Amino acid sequence: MKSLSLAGGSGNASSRERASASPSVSSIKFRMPTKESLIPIHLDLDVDGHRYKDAFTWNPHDPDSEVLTFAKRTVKDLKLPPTFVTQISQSIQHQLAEFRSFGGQDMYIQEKLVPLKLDLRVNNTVVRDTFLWDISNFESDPEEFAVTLCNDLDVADPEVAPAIAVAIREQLYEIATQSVSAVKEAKLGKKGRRGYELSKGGNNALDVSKYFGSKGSGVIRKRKDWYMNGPTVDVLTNEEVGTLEELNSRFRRKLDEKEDSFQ
Amino acid sequence: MSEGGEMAPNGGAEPSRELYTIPFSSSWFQWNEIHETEKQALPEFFEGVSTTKNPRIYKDYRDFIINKYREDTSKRLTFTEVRKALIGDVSLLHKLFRFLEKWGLINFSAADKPDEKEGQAVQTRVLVEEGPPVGLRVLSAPIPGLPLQGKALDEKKLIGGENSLRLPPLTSYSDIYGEWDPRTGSLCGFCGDRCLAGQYIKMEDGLKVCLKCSKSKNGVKEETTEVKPAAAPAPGPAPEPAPAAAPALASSTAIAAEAPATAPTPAPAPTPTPAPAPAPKPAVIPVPIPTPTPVPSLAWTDSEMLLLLEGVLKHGDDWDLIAQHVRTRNKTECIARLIQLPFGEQIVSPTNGKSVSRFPVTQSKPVEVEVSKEPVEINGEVNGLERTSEEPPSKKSRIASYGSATDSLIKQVALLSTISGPHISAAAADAAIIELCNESVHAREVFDKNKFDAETKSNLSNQEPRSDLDVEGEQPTILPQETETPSNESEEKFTTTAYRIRASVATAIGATAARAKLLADHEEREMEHLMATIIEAQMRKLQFKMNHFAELEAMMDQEYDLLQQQKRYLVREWVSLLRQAFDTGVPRWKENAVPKPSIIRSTP
Repeated sequence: MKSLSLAGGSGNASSRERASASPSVSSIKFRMPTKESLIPIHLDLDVDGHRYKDAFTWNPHDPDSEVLTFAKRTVKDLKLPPTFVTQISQSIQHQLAEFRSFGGQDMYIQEKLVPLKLDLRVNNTVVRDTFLWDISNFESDPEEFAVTLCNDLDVADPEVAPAIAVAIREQLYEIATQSVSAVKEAKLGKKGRRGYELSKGGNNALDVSKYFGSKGSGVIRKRKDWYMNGPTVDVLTNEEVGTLEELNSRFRRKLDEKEDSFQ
Repeated sequence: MSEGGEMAPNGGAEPSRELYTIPFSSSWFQWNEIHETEKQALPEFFEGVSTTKNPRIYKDYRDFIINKYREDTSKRLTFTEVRKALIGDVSLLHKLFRFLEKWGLINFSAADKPDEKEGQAVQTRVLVEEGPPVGLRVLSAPIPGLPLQGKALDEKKLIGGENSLRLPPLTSYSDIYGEWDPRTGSLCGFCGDRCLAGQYIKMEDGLKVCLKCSKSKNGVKEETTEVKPAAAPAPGPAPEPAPAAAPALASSTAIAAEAPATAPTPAPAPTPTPAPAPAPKPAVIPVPIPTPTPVPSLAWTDSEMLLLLEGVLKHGDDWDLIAQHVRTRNKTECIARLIQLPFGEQIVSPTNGKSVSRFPVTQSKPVEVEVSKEPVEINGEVNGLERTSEEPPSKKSRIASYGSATDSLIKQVALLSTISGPHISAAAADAAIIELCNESVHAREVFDKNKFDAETKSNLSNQEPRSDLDVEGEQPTILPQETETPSNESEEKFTTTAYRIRASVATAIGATAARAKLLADHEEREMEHLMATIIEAQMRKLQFKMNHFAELEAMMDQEYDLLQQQKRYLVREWVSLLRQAFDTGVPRWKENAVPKPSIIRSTP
């Protein structure tokens, strides 16, 4: 059998970057820890009674002219009032700028298995899930994971997979930005490098020694734990969706009222 | 799970409780060991760098997954089932899972997952990565012994290069036309049933409707015809009498019977046609319209397609309205279906207004339009890369298609005759009537004369291809013959009507012919013009070439001169050298006698 040649890129790149003192911590420039550098964009606008809520991924290397094009297109497709165009493009630009402000800064990425959670509703499908994600794995692909999940569970709605991918990216983005700020703190001397390694970093990372170490309990979960760690997908009927939305809006209104009453 | 039995290579016994089949190419696998292949495919475990990845853990994962599959070898094991039972990075686990699946160590005997529906694959902009995990590159030799289709598909992608964007599969004939096979005869446009011979009615737009549907859906049809762009008044009333008249004529040659009914109606206003249509019309119309219950079947019936295309032409970009138009399908399905059609995406055009055909096209086949392709966004997810706004070469110079070749001659004639202006039609009508009047009452003579006239005129309009061959046995006939038989019958009943029919038929043909001639001339001129352009371009090309060569030649000449000069110079040098040598009295000169001929030869 002929031998398989390695993908030099992936293997070597990550090992090249593990150049620092501790073998598992590497300091690299800020980026999304996924194979493709796409950032999640979140829009939630309420203008003149029209509410537009959306989430999607964006390629930060796209030219900025695309933002306006996208905004126009969206407004046209969804028949929103034209004031939305500026609002949408502003919001996107803002988030892009935020992302870019991190660029060039260092972040420490060490191998950490972070439990990610999914809890979202897309049209009539509700997905809840939790799984572990290694944030040092730069070859990870949220889209692929989302598509596999939807295929395995026979999700009919094609909008679910992208939504899942966006949700994953959002959490990864959070973690990435937090690791940047942790680096800043460390550099300012507030915490030592070692302190960083043990610091919280948002989600509680998995205690690897508990499972992976030589005396660990092993990497296979007990059967009773399978359910908790697997995905659940529910398809709601339209009435249920209606009730949910009504509850949501009521809740939101209450929040707004509370805000107003404070002022 | 005991592993007493070893894995048997393919071609072995039936999968028993202990043995199960894996491909022969995976026979390197051993329970107790980790093979080189695995180490190379999943190097993360073997680098010894991280605490969470080491060979022991790898083995645990691998064994667990394989054993899970062995619990039921006929059932396809999904990654999701596995990953909820394992602790570890899901991306890495996925890679491992795919590795095992690719090598057939799992899911080898399982049923294949049906391919994703094409429509859905189109809409998502997710990069679907199939094939080998990222760490693998292309194999130099294909893996033998992968009989399963799913594996073969993987294989192709493996060889073709991994990480390729998975495009939706090319639309095939079957997608457009459903399961229709010319040999099986026509299918009813509404209910999709096979139409029995002679039991169907051909509607205005080329739809074939079985008799049942035509009666019940007559109201529906009229509804939809109203929605069509009623750009010209002439074709407006035309569709209505046509379907109404058609079922009334219960003869087996339903098509032929329809011909005289349709033919007079497209004739413009000046011809007062007491159309025989209105007579039977009231009998059929008042049928309560049953709203078609949305059958969410996968296959698009003809009527749905029709509505879809109409909707697109009319509303262009507005998917809500289009979905309304096609009552039985929702927005996403419409979009998906449209994209599947060949050139489907080009039909969607925001600039629809300026490029709709100038002529009132009563058919709803997509006319060639200018296009700017716009990406379809369903959930707002955007990949800026996808955005293109290419404009395929404008085909405006090409005359809009008046109807495809599959339409019957009658239809084309009717269509063309509606297009010509009123004056032409009036003139043709007058001429026809005069002719008829001149011919007196003799039926045969009239027919012959008329036929002759009509033929000469219609020869011009015979550019269009013949009508489609219906399996039911309808022969494509020249128009006058068709009108002959029914006219014969009707003559016995309605004499005046017959003459009028003939008059209007002749009118139609005359008008058609005039228009056709015009179009033909136009086309010719276009062609000549294009030829001239081409020839001019060629000539220019040749000119350039000639200039190019002339330049080259000049350069060559210069070089040649230079070379000559060099030669002369060299010779002079040589001579002076010899002289010097001679002066200093070098005795050996004679021995090394330079052959004199060479000196002589070198002088030009």
